[in-house]
Amino acid sequence: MSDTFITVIAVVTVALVMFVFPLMAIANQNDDITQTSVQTLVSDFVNTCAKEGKITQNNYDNLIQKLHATGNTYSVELEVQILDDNPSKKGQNINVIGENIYYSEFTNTIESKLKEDSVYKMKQGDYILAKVQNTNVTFGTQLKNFMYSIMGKDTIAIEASSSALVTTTGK
Amino acid sequence: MKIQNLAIIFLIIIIPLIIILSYYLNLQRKTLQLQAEYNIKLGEATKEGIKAFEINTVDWKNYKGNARSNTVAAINAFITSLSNNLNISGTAKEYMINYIPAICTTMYDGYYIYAPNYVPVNKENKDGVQLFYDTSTINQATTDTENAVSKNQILYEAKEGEGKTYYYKTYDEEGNETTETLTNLTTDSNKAKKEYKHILSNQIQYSAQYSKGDLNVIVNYTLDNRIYVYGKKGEKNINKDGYLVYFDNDTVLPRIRINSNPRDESDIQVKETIVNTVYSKKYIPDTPEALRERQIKTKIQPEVLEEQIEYKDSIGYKLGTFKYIYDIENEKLYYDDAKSNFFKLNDDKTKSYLDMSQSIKTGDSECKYKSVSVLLGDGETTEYKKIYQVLNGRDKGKWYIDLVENTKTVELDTEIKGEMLSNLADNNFAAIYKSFSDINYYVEAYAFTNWVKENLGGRITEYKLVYNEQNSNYERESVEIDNLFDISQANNPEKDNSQIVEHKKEIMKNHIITNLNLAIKNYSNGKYNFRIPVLTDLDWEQAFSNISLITFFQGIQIGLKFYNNYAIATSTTNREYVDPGEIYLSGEDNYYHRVYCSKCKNVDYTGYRSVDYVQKEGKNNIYYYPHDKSNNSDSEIACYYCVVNKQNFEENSDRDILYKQAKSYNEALARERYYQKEKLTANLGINITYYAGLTIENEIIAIHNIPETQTVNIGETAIIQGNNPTPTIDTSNQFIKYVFCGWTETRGSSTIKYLPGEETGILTQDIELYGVWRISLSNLNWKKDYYYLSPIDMPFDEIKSKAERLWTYAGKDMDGEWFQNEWYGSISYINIAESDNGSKIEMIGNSVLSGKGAIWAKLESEYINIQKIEFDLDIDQGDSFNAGGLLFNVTDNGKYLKGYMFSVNFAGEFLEKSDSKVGSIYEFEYKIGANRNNVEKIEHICTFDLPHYETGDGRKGKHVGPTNIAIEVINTGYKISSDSLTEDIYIDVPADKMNRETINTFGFFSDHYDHRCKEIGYFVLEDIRVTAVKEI
Repeated sequence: MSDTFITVIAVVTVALVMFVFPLMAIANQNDDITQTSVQTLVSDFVNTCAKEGKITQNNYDNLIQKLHATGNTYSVELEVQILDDNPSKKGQNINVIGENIYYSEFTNTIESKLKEDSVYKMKQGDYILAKVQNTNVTFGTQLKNFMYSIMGKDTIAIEASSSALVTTTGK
Repeated sequence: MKIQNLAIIFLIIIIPLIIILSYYLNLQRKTLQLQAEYNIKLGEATKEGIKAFEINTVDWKNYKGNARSNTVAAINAFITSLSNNLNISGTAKEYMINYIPAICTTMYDGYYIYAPNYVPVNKENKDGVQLFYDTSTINQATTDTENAVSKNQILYEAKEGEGKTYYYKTYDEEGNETTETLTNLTTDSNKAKKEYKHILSNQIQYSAQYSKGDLNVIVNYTLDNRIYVYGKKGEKNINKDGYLVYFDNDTVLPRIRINSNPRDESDIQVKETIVNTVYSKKYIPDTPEALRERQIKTKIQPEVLEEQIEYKDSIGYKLGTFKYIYDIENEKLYYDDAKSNFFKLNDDKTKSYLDMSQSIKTGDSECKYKSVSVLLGDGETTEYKKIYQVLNGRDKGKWYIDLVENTKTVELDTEIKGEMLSNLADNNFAAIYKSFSDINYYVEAYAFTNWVKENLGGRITEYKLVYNEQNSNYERESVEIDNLFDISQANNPEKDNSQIVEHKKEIMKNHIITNLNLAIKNYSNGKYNFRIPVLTDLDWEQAFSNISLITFFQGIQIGLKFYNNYAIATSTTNREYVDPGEIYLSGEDNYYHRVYCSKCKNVDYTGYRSVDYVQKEGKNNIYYYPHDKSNNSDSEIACYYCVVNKQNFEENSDRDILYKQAKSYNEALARERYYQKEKLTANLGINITYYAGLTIENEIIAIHNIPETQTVNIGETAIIQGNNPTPTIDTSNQFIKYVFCGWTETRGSSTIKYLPGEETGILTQDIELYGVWRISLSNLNWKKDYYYLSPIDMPFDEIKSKAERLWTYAGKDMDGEWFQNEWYGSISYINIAESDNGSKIEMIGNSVLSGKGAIWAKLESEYINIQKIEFDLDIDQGDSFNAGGLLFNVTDNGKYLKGYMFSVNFAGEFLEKSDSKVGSIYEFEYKIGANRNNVEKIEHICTFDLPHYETGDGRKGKHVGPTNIAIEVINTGYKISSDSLTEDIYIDVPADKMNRETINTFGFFSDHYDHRCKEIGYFVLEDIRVTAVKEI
């Protein structure tokens, strides 16, 4: 009887050690790699848009496609902070500089303009920000949730953000 | 086998695999991370590089260097920024540059490449200063390059065993001179050690070579539609540049026609006025929809440009809005309405007004001009003319043209005024502060485009370098291209998809790629082979949209691979390139807009470059905007619908507003693109130039009062200068004095063409006048030979009046004793006086006895000889003269005078030997001091007649003259000429008598008979002009 019990324990232990933990490790590694590549994609997208001075439908679609190619689903948040230097221009002999303000346009506005015109133009001095989070539960998260229920479910495993200053006014 | 054993074996196999796999995946992840990090840092550093370029050209414009130094600044900013981002500092920065195989800066009309070159290693001293070989001292090294006796040579570090030893004098820390021994150095770069060093190349043009027939040219392209063409057509050199612009048939440009051999403005016909200028563009796909449906014909008019500037006056720094234009030398001139004058803004913000004094006339170096271009000729002409307006000085506001093109540079020669001026432009010429740069752009672009079409239209051959893979070498290849330079609606140089623009971009891209590849082809740091990555079409599109910085960063090991990437940063805010999309419009509107904005009002706008809307910093914490007028709220803030948020831009639908916008935009773009820089001179009307005719040398120590060049209008007369003041000459010889006679048109001639104060005939071309001078006879050192019974030292006028009194008593008895005592002897009393037209010599004859008299003088100068003696002759014989006249070629040996005489014969031997003719040339001998004798010997040479008449009315004898006589020195002797002679008379004189002494000695004589009456002869030689020439 005790032999059988120990055997069962041993088998379970072996199964855990030989399969579950390596699987978890690899799944985490996979998530890390995905995190890195998503970060790279988002950075490249933001830098390209800042360099060109515009967000094109083409660039945006490429980003979405490449994000999905990592095997996960994501939510993409875009923000364009538009430089408004008018407050510093009112009146004469302005003695204080740096009164520029930024106001933002967000994902919905940008996406609707992309749908209309296929391009969203920015000007020199604006900022573009992008933030990507996964919306599905990755395999690594699933395993983690399975193993560590105390850590909570649906933890965001992949999150990348990047921002850049627009250096060229888009044409 | 037991399952446990199996499990253990499985674990032994799997765990290492998992470990290795994990490590590999980790490495991959880190590689990706590093790559992403480097991408960001490279991008940021490149942006900072281009920002540095913008700061230099926009904010620090007054202090900036040229494009090359701005490029160097941008590259340094990039390298510094990249090093800082990578946390590399200090000397490690120099090692980091080894991973930058190339940096390319695309400029407006060329590009720079910053890349490693294999160069000799220079030898420097401990302070890093380059050492040179001082060739004046053996084996001496020096840092001095300016004070060397002969040209110094650069010292390099030599390869092993190929150098020499040099000595370098330097100072140690205590200031004591020491000599440092430097071994293994060379001045021969072939023997020097070499290393890779990053060097900025010279600017390389975007050029391509084309040929057509005998035309062989290089075309340099630019980022916009301007090209430079230079080369040869047959034997003729070509060097042209301009903008290629598409003009359709509805375009109207100012045009004139000029007759051949033009003389004045009546030879100009105005075919199309400046007022009617229209620029027509049709069916341009990317214009607003509303405009696309109609033909856009926008009037192009002169503009009034304004700018707010900070300036300094006596109170302090102030802001003010002024109109401005660019003059023909591309200087920005602001217009002060209060003073009706232009000024330049100095570096210290003070104003420098143009000099308005009346002494400044057109053509002077202080004169400033602006210009208007008009087409010349009919049809698709390739020529244009410029009309210039003077902005300051005596001729301010006047318009001139270079009508008669007889010099290589522009020389204004004709004023355009009155009706011709209003034919050209109505009242548009009235306001001197209006800018015509926009019209100039279209006119010159039209002419240039036609020239390009004419010379490079149709089929042309392009030559290019192509890399041959088999030979591993670049080879020249020719390609036939059709209609590349046939500018049309389909081939519009301002449209991206036209043939010429596609071709241009291909040229530019291939040019850069070829040179980048060449630059880094052989560069290797031992571990990594550098190669240029392939840039995408979008990247090239961006690089050529404005001034750009393309950076390459390769060779750093990141995890499993080497990093290899590039970054492009493009400048929007710079002054090097006029971006068509960066024109903002200002007008009576609180906001300034982009063109066609839906929020524009129905007012007239003026366009300026967006870079001019950048805030400027003044003194005393004043910040201002150049197009924000201080006295109102116009154009103060950027429109939120087109400038602040470009994405909100919507096109206007109002046709009137669209028309006004199109007009303002086209004017602004044309004006911002237009550039001119030229100098000119003026040659207005007829110039009368006065020259002294003699030069300051030898005895002549100063010449005064030669009139300035006189200018009169063509077809008018002029009053010749030279009166008040009269030209004078100072000499160092008391006996040689020059008297001004008049002006001649032939240098060296004594024939007077004009006298001062005389009016010329109608003048049609320039004249040069040379002063004619005579020697003042009254200053000569005269010797006199005449005799009185009792010496009389009486003023001539008194003697003359006595003689005249005696004459009035002719036939009456007088006080015989007085008469007998005082007037015995032969009087040749001579009075020499100077007058405007020459010297005057008066002689009084004798009273009773026969005899002779003479005066003579020698021109005592080492430098000049007598050339000609001219005089007017008017002699009254009275009852005393046998003869009288001029002595020339005279030899004075103290006892005798010998030589030749021009004799006016009245009686005695003189008349006999001349066959009773009035005029003769005799060779004579005259004994000095024997006044009771007649002239001792006369030998007849030749005889001629002179006008004369019998005096009658109780007086005896003849009156000879008036007539003019000229006796001129020639090689063989003398030439006698006169209006009274039918032909000139030549007197041959033996060569031994034609010497300096004889030529320069001359005088006057009279010979009398015994008449014992009161009929006293009296003769006058007037307007005696003795002209002298320089001895060679």
